[in-house]
Amino acid sequence: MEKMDARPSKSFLKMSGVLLLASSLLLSACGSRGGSPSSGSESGTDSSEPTSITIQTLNYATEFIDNTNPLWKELEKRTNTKLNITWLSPSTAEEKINVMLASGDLPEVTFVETMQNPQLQKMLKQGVFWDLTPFLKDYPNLNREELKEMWEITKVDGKNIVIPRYYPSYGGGVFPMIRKDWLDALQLETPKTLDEFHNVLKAFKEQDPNGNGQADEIPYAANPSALAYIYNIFNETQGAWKLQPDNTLSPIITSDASREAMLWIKQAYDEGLFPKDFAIMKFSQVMDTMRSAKAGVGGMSMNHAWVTGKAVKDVDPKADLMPLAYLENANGVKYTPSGSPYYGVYLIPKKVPEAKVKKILEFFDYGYSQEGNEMLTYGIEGVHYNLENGKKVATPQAVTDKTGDGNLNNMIHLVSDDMAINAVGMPDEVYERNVEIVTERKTVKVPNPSGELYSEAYNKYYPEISKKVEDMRVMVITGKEPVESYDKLIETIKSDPKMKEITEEISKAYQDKFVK
Amino acid sequence: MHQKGWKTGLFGFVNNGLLLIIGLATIFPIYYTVILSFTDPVEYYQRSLILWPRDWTLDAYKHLLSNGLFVTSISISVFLATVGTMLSLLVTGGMAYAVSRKRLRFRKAIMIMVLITFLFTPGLVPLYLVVRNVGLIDSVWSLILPSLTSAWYVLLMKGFFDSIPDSLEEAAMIDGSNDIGVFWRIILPLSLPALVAFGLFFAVGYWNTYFNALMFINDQKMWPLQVLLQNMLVDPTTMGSGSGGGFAFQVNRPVPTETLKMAAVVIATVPIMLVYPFLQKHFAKGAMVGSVKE
Repeated sequence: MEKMDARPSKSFLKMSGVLLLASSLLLSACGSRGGSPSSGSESGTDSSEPTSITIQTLNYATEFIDNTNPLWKELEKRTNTKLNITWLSPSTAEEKINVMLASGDLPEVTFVETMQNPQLQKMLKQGVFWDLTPFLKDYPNLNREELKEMWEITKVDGKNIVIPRYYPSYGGGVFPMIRKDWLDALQLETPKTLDEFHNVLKAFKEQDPNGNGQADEIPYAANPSALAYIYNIFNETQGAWKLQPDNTLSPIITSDASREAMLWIKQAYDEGLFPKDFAIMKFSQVMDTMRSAKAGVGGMSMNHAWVTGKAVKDVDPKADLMPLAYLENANGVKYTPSGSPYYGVYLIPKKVPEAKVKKILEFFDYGYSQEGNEMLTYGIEGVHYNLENGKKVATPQAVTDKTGDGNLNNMIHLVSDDMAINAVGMPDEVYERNVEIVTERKTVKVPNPSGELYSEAYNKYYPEISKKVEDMRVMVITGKEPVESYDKLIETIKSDPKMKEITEEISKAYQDKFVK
Repeated sequence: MHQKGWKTGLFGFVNNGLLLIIGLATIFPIYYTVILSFTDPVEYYQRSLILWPRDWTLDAYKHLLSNGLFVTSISISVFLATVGTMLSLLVTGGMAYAVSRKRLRFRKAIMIMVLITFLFTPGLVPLYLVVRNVGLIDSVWSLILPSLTSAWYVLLMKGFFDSIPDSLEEAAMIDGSNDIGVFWRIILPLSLPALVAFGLFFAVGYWNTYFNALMFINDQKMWPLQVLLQNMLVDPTTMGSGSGGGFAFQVNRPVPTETLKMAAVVIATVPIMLVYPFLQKHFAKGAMVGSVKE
């Protein structure tokens, strides 16, 4: 009996012992497997020794390169650095960056996609990152004329804390791309005003531009969010806010002009100018409709004149996609999409020693120099491209070494409109036309008062409000709700204290930043 | 008599007809996915519904399988689904067995600790910090150890072990077996159907490893299959929509076609679906029959 009692506890000890042993074995196994966290903080004062720099940034390619890549090695050689780059896949980077920011686990050079990131805003205020203002003057390439604007608008309380990543202001953004061959077939002019645009769409529907005798054309491949720019045309501003004469901002979501814009879309919808499942289409389905070569217009950035244009050509060899330069509203005010002259920012945490900060700036200075900038995108002359008649023609080696495919060329962008208007394999005539169009677009200056503003109330409340309005717009456009319900909703939103709070905060942010 | 036969016949007919329709409705999406993955994208854009492609093409599969990382990523996923599942079964089974035995000391306290993890989740940042500080970033073990077991599975398995009578165990101990022996020789074989069922849960979970891999794996060569496929299907037109003023940043990268997505779905699901038929027979086995007389 006694023996029976003692037995279980003895074996319990044994069992737990075995379990402990097993778990410790497991843990030690993983310890050896997992590499130690990067510790590249040896100071880089010695000028002959390469400085090691840890960088975290986005990579848009399908296959990421590593330090065995020839271009990577060349970059290390020319900048006398040892690069330790952690690539993030763009579709998922936001979550990971947020976790890294929250955990304080930051590489020496940290990329954040948007300055409006709430976590980043908090950290900027706390002074977690180096103030680069005193150093910048020593780096001529960082002070290039083309980059002046991006340094200016990314200042935080008058200080340059972030290193913005250049991106051209013009050429990107969703704006109509039209089938030039259809226009020609119907002998129509390129539309310049919204009315002309509307007439072109109608002609596409009624006059059989593809000449197959069937009314199978879809004038405009779009879903509600691809038409957001229509509201901007009517409101004569970029973004969600319009500057008022008294230096306050007002939301365009509740403006009378937005109501007119909605009715413009409704009329086009009633005339059957959009696909039949307009209201529920995903963006990829809109693009699929475009590529079926049955659609006359789609909303895309200018490089899609070839990126998507080629796909359309595969189906219909005559096809020619041409971006519109601008559209004019009834008041004769022109609109074209334009954005900030940068996309995403790099930050250097304070734990990096000063000598290394200078070294990092030197690295970026090289990246923005003519030589370094072109190398990052096109590779090395004679290896990755050859100059023929002043043009860079890629060699097969460029593909092997993954040059310009979203790897290194996205760490520091090429300082050129080509970022937004050129594409691999784009024929000269398409490219030259794009250059002309982007030049024309640049003459159109549409104010973007809210582009660089941050408001907590906006982040907290605005998405919900705008979702409500957008849903209602779709209901009105598709005829499921009368315009009166829209008017009622707008009235309640105008008197919503949350909306007032957002408006006040944004206006204050504007005045703090731009009104001195 | 005759009338009754006619009625049952009609009932059977309607019944079978309805079930057939429901069956087809569930089969159709799978069929459509597979068919689309073999369709030429151009044909897909032009036809609204494709039941049988005019031209069969393997282009989508060629594109996905030509990725240099495909082989490594699928071996990572297989490693996770096998080794991970084994370890998970061992840990979950061991834990559940221990807490199902009434003679375990501090059994209540242990159960409460298990329940706490069931009720409260600490969130992502602490998990990330623990994984990083243990040095598991970029290690496959970061995809196994944090998800080795869960309170839910421990509770479910405990319920199963509770149904195994103590007398069976006592019988084994009288015959000279210790606890480990009882667990290994008596309990586990008896629980085969449960182990298979739980193993399948774990295997599917490990095969679908996605979010943890995004967080803990920076090195592309360590990516499991799902992360790789997702990255290949990124729609460049939606990249960077976080920028202010609705100005979308667009990248020079073709939009993945719908057929490519379908091929990715097929590649991602077929290997794990193939496991089911092999495990089917174990579900049906009645394990406890005749083992002990109460």
